[in-house]
Amino acid sequence: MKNKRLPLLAGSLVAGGLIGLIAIMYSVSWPRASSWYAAGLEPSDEGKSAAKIASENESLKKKLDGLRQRGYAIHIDSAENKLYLKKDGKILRDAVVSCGSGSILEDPSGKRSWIFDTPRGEFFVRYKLEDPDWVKPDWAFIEEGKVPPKNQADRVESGTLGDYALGFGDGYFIHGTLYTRLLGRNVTHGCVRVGDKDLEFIYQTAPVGTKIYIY
Amino acid sequence: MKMRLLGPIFLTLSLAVGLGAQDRTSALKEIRLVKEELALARNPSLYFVLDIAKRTIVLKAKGIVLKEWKILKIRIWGSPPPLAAMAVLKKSSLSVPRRVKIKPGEAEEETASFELDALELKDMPASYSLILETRTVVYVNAKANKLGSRIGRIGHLLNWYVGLPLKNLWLQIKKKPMTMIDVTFSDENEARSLYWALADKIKGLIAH
Repeated sequence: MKNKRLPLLAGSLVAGGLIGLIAIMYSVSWPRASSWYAAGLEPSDEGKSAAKIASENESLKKKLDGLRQRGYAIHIDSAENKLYLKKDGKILRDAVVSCGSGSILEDPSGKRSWIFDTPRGEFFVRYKLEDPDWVKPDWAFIEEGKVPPKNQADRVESGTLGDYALGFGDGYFIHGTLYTRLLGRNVTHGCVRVGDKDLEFIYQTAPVGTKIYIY
Repeated sequence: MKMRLLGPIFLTLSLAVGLGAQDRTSALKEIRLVKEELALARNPSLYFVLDIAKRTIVLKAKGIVLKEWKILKIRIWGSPPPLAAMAVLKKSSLSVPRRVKIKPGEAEEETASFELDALELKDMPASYSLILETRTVVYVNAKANKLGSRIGRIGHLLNWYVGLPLKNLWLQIKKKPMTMIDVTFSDENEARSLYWALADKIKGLIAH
């Protein structure tokens, strides 16, 4: 009789233990409303009056609002390969573009390497060029399997960048393209390629100083 | 008669005081969040805000919303994260997107049989975790539509309901509490584009 009860008792103990473990596990992990409710507040918050809280809130929001740039802005979604030209938050033009390929190029000497990403963050239009020439950097020659020339004049190439270019620093441009069939794909060396008509509109609308947000 | 009236009055007053305290706490939390956001918005880097109550993640710069993701489902385990800016230390996934190495001398764009070898949105994972500072992990995934992703989803749910509470119990014993947030999007592309947008070391806030 005792032998028959033993497995049952052991089974009950194991089951009870498991249920207990699960109960402890969930009670520990469960996000308690009481701890989440006031989490993040500091002791200095205690004595603030309702009026002070309201005025502090208002003034902080005003400060944040003051950082927002009014006027023209260019937003570039490098994942979707889309460019939005906005004015006071309203979209004036949306264009399909090509952004960086994310590929890596290594100098055969092993001393240098490049990652062809479109940079992310906040920039601004530093200058605008009509009929721009491209001064090919070293990577453009290395990618073609050639040795970069010493003479600067040998680096200049016409027509590659389209009719206009808007420079936003470190050699990056919003410019035209010969490869319009690749618009919408990530193919560039970091610049943002735009179709002719969209580029013309952007060039003529966005003044120097226009903020560029790339994400 | 008086006693009958006192009951509802007392209840109303308690509720009013309770609600007042709740509003006060919410307003104080909002102040802390705006202060933190202001500090983030003052530099040229992008930042994100995960709002648990609104079920949204927004990518911002200078207080401007650049992109917004709507969350379909959100689950939480553990202790609350601080109301402070925290950086994404690592993006962890089973399939890490790999960059293509260019072979010098093979100019792809000019060849007739051109096949694009670039890092694109479709190459990003749809299921991954964002490991943030201050022991906070955000698990990101999408609603499963295909068979493969449904199997993956079962694995994820097993981990969420069994593996992670066990881990959390162990961490509580070691006095190292964690915050685990599970975010589900309606579409895999949403999860992929968030992976793309949250560059390494990007800072953000979790509003709760």
